[in-house]
Amino acid sequence: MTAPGKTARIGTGPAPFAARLGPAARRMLLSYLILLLVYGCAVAVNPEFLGWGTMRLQLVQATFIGLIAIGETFAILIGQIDLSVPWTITLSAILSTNLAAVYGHQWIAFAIVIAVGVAVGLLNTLGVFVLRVHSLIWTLSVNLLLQGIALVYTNAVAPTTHIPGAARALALGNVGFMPAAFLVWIVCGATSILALRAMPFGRSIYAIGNSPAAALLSGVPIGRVTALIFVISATCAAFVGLLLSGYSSQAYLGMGNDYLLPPIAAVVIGGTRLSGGEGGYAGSIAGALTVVLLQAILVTLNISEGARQLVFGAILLALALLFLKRRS
Amino acid sequence: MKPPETARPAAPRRRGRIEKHLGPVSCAIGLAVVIGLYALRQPLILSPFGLASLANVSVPLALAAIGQTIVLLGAGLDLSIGAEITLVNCFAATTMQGSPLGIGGIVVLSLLIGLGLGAVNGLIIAYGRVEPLIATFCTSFIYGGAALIILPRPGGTIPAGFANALTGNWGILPFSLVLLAAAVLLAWIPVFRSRLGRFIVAVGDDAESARVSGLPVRRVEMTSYVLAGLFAAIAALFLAAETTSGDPTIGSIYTLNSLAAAVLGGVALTGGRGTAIGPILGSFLLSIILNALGVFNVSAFWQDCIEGLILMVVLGLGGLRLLRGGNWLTVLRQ
Amino acid sequence: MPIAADGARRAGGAGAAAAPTLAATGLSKRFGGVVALRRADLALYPGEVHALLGANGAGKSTLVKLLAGIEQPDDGTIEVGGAAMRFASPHAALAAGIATVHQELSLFPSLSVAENILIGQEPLRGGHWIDAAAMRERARVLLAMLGATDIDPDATVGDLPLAQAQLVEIAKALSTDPRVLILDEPTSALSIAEVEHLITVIERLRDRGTAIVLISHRLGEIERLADRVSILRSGEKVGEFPPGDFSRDRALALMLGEAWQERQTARPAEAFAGRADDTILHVSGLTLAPHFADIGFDLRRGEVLGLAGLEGQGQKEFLFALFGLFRRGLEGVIEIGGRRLLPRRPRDAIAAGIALIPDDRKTLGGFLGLSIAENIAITVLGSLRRRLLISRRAEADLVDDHIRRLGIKCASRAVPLGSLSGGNQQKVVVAKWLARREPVYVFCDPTRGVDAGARGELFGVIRELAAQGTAVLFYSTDISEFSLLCNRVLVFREGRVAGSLEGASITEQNILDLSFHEAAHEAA
Repeated sequence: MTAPGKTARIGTGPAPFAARLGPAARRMLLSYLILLLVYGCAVAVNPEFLGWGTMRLQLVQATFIGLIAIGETFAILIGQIDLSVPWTITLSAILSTNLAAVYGHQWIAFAIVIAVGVAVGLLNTLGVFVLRVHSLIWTLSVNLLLQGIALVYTNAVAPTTHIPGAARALALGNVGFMPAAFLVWIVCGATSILALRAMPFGRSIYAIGNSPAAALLSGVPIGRVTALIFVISATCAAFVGLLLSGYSSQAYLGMGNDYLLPPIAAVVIGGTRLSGGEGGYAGSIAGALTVVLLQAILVTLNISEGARQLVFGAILLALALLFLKRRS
Repeated sequence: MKPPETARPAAPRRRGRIEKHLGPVSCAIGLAVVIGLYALRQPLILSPFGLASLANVSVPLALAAIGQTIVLLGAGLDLSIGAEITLVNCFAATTMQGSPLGIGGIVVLSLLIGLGLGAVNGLIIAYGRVEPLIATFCTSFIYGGAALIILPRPGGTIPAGFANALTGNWGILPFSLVLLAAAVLLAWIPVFRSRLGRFIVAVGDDAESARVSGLPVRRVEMTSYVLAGLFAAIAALFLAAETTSGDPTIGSIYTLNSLAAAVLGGVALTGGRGTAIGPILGSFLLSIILNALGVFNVSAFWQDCIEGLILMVVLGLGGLRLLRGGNWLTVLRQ
Repeated sequence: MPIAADGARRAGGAGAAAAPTLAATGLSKRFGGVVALRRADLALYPGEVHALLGANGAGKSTLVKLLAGIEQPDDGTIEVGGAAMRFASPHAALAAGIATVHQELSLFPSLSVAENILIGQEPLRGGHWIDAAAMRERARVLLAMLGATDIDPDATVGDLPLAQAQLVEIAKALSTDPRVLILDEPTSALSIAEVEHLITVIERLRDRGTAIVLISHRLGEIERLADRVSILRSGEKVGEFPPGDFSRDRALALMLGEAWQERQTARPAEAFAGRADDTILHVSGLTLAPHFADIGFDLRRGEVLGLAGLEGQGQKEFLFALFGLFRRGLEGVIEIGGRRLLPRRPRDAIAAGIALIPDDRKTLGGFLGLSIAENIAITVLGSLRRRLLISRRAEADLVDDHIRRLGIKCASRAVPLGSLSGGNQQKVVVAKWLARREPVYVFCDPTRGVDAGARGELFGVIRELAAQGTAVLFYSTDISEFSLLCNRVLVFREGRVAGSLEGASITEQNILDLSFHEAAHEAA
């Protein structure tokens, strides 16, 4: 062992971009290629996709999916998943718009969003980290519970039709020529990428995903990280709920049901392994845009609801077969 | 030479064996308690009609739970079992009435479809090397979508003869229980007590040891999913008889509930542990509890809440059992 | 012809006159970039015990895996009974009559003893139904053959202590009535009586014509049983002793190569020379049923304390408990630097000042998919933070410093840990703790599967740590390592400390004596 002290660099040291040019980075670039391919198909099917009007709609839709994909990316990276998203969206939308209308202040809606996010996130953490239940099954059960709560609430309290102006502005308004919602996504997305690449939080996520046992033995605060991830995921979902109610000017039962599969598909298309430890949010962004375009193509082709579901499942399966083999 | 008196504090020697039976025994006790409470409130439940209705509600879940258990024992997971039920159900509802193959032919065809759906799962997981979670998550959307294509809205018809055959009574004995008994005696027990059954449990307990011991791991995995598909098909046919129609959403609740019933019956979610009767008792307990809510004047709006809570409690209890292990590393191994 | 301990030759045994039951030629295997086995030949004759000797990482387990069908060779051929075979899976090897007793047991913890022993060949009633009674009986017979009449065929294997589990593994291999029986370290946890029984069984099998491969570190057992001995070193076969011609010294020289010289000139272990009252870790009455009871010692700064004894006597559980891996049930006193501690999770132990380098570095010690830098920095992420983000420069400084200090061979700090050799991976695991400057290091079988060169370097690291005042707890399943490293050794037996050795009295013989008996002179 040589004496400690300042010494020359080992190797050339990684350039910030080249460092990640392993298989994970290649998958991420592949996801953008897939996006281009799908965009090409969309234009071929309907040339209106070249126009800003149509694209603007797609960007807003992609925002909703992309925001939820933030939480899902984090969860999937540590080997978990959050399927309580659909009714978190709905419950948050109903509660926040209702309570804001009842008490007459807009900021209450945002406070409810955060409250719902924290409550659901901690409930998920309870099952997944403390009770060691498989996250997929636990969050599905929580989803059912939230559905029940939403039903009870709407039965007890007649829902309002008044949507907070701020929500409407965020969902429908523009900043310059950009949709305001899209800007929100850009900010959140950039923060997520930064967090994963350069914050202790992100480092811990990759460690846990790579080897939970080694993370435990290295002193990584697994419980804290898990709780933060589920809270972020639920808060994103709750926020999307509020945005959706602003977008469609109503909050109704079942409004979140279409947001179960697409965000997960976005994460998988984006190159994040479902078993955890590899991937990142940059790919999920491409994945969200791809998913939205795929949905639009299927709608344009007048494909029935059932066929759409089938096609999505098949695409996801094909990706899994190609890119997501189990070890051994 | 007799080995010296061990200085080591004695290990609990029978722990593994007692644990195995804890699940089914608690279910049996729970069943007795719940039925007792139910009967106090609504004595009619003990009549032939009442028992038949309890059985009719529990049998499809029991069948689904058996299918799920076969997969769980092998350390797998079948999230598509609900969708398999839905698809076969919609198929039967749209083809059985007036089919040239006759009712019997459609029944056979439905079972074959169930086997086929399971085989697709098995191929993707055992040979395509995709994680069971992802694979069955995807196929659940594929099968569910296909069901919607076949039958976009509840409808279709089931011949009355078929419906009565499966849902009627014979004195105090409901036909549904006969069906369940037949499925258990002709399919479930023969699998559980055969070499295949031991192989599934072994693979679920330690797949690497299984490989090293010369067991055909892939074939065993594949077979477990095929069998799950078979039981899903039987459940689907029974549901068709019960509702005398098809419904493209009928199976969705069975995925989660079959998992909960299995866990309630003592089957480990991580594989390698479970009894033959456990999932059956667990399903009966779960269905009757949910059914009893109506009798106790619980408003329909609270039902989802309570069901969600029950699921969480059942799963949490299963997790607590794992936590008793005491060693962080085994807990993490999950 | 076996060589008896007293050197006399004994006649008998089929010997090399018959054709070989199994002939392996030119077997080669590489894993990633590492060559595990290179052009190895092995001929197994009926009625002959063929021993394989070699240091850790020499390629013995790779050779076993190729013969057992667990891995497939990149090159070379295997012939059984004259016919060329290709074992595409373990099933094929078993079908060819090759049964293996694995070092890492191939048992099913949730199944019963009988189910484990007869897995794949369960007796059937009516061609389909498993006959549990017949299964139990056959298991009983096989266990009785090994003298293990106290093992209940219905017991759950996961509840058994390691020694009994090893016997179940052996019974399982015997149940197939194999032509070739491979025994990989079958006695590491067995008592003297159990070893004697096993030797009798092996001799009986040999007389019946079975070809037997024996891998063991215990030269005494080798000398008693082996007819032919092959020596492996660094993946190559470097020597073979035909029947009747075995020399312990020559074998060790071949096994260890250069390290043999080192062993010859190695000084005996030295007792701790620092201040006797400079205790950093005080343990007393530490108990965790059913793994260990009443463990106590004082560990001083700069002292290296070894935990020896047969495998499975509670050493590993003790070290894990010290690190907080057991969530409940730990009783007793632990004091580090004067502060009391009863860790319920690793974070507690780490905060108190303990670092653990575990044995299974693939999944416990390091993150194979993460880079070297990410691995090393994981314990000090907080201190590398400048405002919200991790400072790349601070990280690079820290990591490069440690790579230098430990001599980790790598292309750059950005390569994934999985691409390094075993020894270098282990060094990275050590490196991540250096940044925290923990006062107590626990090494849990760090040289398992690590080759001789890397082992020497790892020892250098440990010695350097001790020289700088770190207290070290050291556990190894290789009995020869204690005299090279430790100032003091506690020998574990059935969960308790059977005795302690200091300085020059740390020898393999003394450790073995204490492993089997309370004191060397006590009769059985």
